[in-house]
Amino acid sequence: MKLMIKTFLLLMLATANLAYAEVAVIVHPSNAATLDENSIERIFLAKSKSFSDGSSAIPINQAEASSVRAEFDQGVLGKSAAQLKSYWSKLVFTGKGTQPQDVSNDAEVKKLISANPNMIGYIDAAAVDGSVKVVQTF
Amino acid sequence: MKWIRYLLILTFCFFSTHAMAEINFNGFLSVGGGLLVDDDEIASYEGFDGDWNTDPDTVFALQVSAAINDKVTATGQLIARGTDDYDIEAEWAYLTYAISEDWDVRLGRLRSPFFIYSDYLDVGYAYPFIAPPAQTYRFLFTTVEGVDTLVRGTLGDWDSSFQAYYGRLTDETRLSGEEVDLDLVGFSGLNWTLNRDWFTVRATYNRAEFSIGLPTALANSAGTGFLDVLNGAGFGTVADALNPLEEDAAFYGIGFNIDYNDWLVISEYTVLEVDDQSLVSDDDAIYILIGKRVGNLTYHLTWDQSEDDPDLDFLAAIPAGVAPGLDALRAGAAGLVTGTKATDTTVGVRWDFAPGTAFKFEVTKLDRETGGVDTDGTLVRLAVDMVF
Repeated sequence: MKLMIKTFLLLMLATANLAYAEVAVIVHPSNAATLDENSIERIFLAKSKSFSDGSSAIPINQAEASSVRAEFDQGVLGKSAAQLKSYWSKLVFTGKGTQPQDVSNDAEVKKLISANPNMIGYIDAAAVDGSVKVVQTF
Repeated sequence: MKWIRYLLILTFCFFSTHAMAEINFNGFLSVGGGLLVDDDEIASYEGFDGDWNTDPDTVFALQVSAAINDKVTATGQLIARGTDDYDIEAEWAYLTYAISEDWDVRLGRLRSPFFIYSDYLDVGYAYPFIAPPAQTYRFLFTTVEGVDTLVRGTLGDWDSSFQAYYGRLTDETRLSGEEVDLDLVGFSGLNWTLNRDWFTVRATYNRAEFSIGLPTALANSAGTGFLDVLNGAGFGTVADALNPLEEDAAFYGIGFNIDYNDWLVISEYTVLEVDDQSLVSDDDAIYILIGKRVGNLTYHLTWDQSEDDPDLDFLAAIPAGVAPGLDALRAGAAGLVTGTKATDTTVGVRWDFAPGTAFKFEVTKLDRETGGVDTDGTLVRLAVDMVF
């Protein structure tokens, strides 16, 4: 029994570690805008539609079920999935905003962002490479 | 305003074949029901009665929005409601012209923006309760047809959103169980919302000149309606005063929303002021909700009260205590404008059990006081709200 509990705790720790991998917020390498946590949050909540240099900002989300999305929502936006859904339903059904586009994985995000200087997204920090620029890690 | 619908349909048809048009579909669904478990004194409330009924809380809606170009978006929201036998109606249908990133002009059928929740009145998923507090959200109509402008911006650390609108509403409403015409002209107003982190405050001011049709019990071609009888007895001034024809009214209020550390406090206080007493009296209403989020559950308690404030001066034209017939007329006229103080106290829970899906359960204690007589009742209600 004790062994089972220990194994269980170890497993919990292992999954917890997995779940708390670092998230990197990324933009196109040519994007020189200043982006702090607050401005990232504002872009992803459609409160702000441009970067600090005035060019338009297009946020890219990861799939709702992904762990990187859950971490970004909780860690950067400070809201649960249900709270965010409710937030977006207020904007969407009043014609005041559109939810960011969802893409399926880190590679997709990198592909889009490396091709578009207006986009901003987030990926697992371990997946960062030279095609994108990291502006913040959480 | 049928032309707005045609314009939108035309726009959709024309641009849906256009390569540039980006079309988004979103929808929401609420399925719910309830009953008055104690209906001895209050027999009906918001469409509910002593038997289980799902119509008042069942709504299905599909929203289509088409970005025609960088500046123009067409939006239509089709709603089917249990209370309208699921007939499909366009609740929103408008064109948005984006003057700039933070400045829109909209033309079409819009929501009359009286309250915090007016814009998404039917989107149950967007709020903690099954329906916004009924005593405060007391109007028989929820739309306006015309034009509005929305200006967003920041003031220091605050996000600001300002809306001004002007339009008209020609609609039907129910009065003493009968369908009557409703007409609001010069229907206009402004509202301003400020938000900072966990705190949101909103103020609103609206004006209109309204007319409401009379049910047959009050006026009919046979001349047997109560107002006909008043006219026949020589009390035309009293009958005219009661008739809600071209009445000026102002509606204003203030509300706030606190969402701090999983605690919620939401309140709105609103006042209706009519320039002259008719069947419609001055009134005011307030609700306050206190809620706490615990994981996927949100517990809440809401106290919601409205109170009429009729001005009975017009009754002086009918002499009191002279003849029983006159006293009956006077009592009849007074009865039409007797004020009610209505209080609803609700305890409820919302359970976000799956993505985009919430289950809600509520018990509401109803208390009414009309002309010194108190009545009460209890409503039990549940709903499942979804967005997709």
